[in-house]
Amino acid sequence: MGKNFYNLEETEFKETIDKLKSLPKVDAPDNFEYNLMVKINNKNFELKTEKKKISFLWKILPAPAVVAAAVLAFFFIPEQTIENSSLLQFSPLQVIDSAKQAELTSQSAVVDFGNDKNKSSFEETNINTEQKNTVNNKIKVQPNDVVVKEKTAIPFDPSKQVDIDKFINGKAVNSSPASPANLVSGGEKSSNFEGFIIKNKDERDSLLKNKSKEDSLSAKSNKKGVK
Amino acid sequence: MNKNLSSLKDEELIKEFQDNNTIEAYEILVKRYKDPLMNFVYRFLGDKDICTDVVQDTMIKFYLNKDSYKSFAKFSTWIYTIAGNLAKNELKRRKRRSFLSLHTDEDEAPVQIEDKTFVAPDRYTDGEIKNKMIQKALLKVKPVYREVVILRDIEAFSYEEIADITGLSIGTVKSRINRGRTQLQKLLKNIYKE
Repeated sequence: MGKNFYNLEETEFKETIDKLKSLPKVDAPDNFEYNLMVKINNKNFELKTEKKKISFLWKILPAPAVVAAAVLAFFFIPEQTIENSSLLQFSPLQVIDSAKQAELTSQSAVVDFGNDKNKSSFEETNINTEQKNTVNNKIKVQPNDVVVKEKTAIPFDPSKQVDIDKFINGKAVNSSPASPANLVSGGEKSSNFEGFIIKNKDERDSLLKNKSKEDSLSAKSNKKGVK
Repeated sequence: MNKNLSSLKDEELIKEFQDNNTIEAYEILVKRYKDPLMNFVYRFLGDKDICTDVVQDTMIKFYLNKDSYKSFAKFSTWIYTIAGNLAKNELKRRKRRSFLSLHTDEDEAPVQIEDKTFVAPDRYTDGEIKNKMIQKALLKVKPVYREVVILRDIEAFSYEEIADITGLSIGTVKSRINRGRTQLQKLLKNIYKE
């Protein structure tokens, strides 16, 4: 119970200081040392106050983690894997070797040849035009590790193609006079209306004339070559 | 051996602990400082359970980082610095938690069960009520002022020692103590009137 001595500046707060000094002392719990020594002996040096900090971080971590995962999924997962994710949505690709396909087409051509000469020539030309319109330019590895050459169509409308030989032989039929391409190729395939055009009635005659000219020129050149 | 150690000063004990890893020296220092640190941290935080954790952590930090103590400093200021920093961290964490929490304090209030040890307010002594009010007022003082006021007026450290503990200049310590006392005086006015 010693006397309190105050500085000059402290005399102003004498009462407050006395009140603070009169506060009862708070002691540590009885098991304080025991608990501490148990922690030290067990090498359990995890600080309780810092542990709470970590648990708090864990509480707020899931939200940004979900956002980050969504962003990564949006930007980094390629489109192809999304397309292939559900196999039921797509019809299975036919696994046919290009060589085998060529063999099949040639076989059909040979069979048809014996029956009707004209027919076979017509089908041959069909096959040829189909083959011309497709090109084996894409190699694709399927999920079951089978390598397939995919045929991609050349972007030419077959209805707009003209087979002069067929036309001259009289096999083409004018079914749709709207399209000049149909006019020539026989109108077997529908095509879009392309506007009104002036028809040339003498087209067949002029083509025959040109054809005969071409033939005579080629005959002359062949003769010269022989000589 | 233990009797000899008990008679040693704090600085001699920590040196013994540093040099020979004598656990008895550590135990004696824990015994000497557990209560003063408890009192300091309790007055600063106002929660006994958290205060016990903070002082336990202080002692663990002391055990693990004994070599970071340099002999030119006083042991008391060194251990109070550790305790003060942990208490301030805890206070910041509690503030952050209360700020981010979606629940109000009313929601977090515990379920009320009859407390048979409860003493009616009229049975409280005048001194006990006043002590509670002083502690409540102390917790309303800004933490930067509260820390130095507790160190000066409750723990009775000198201005120099407080400057060592807080890492502030003596001038700053004095002005902070002055401001803290002024705030506290205003808050305690009602008690004086009674």
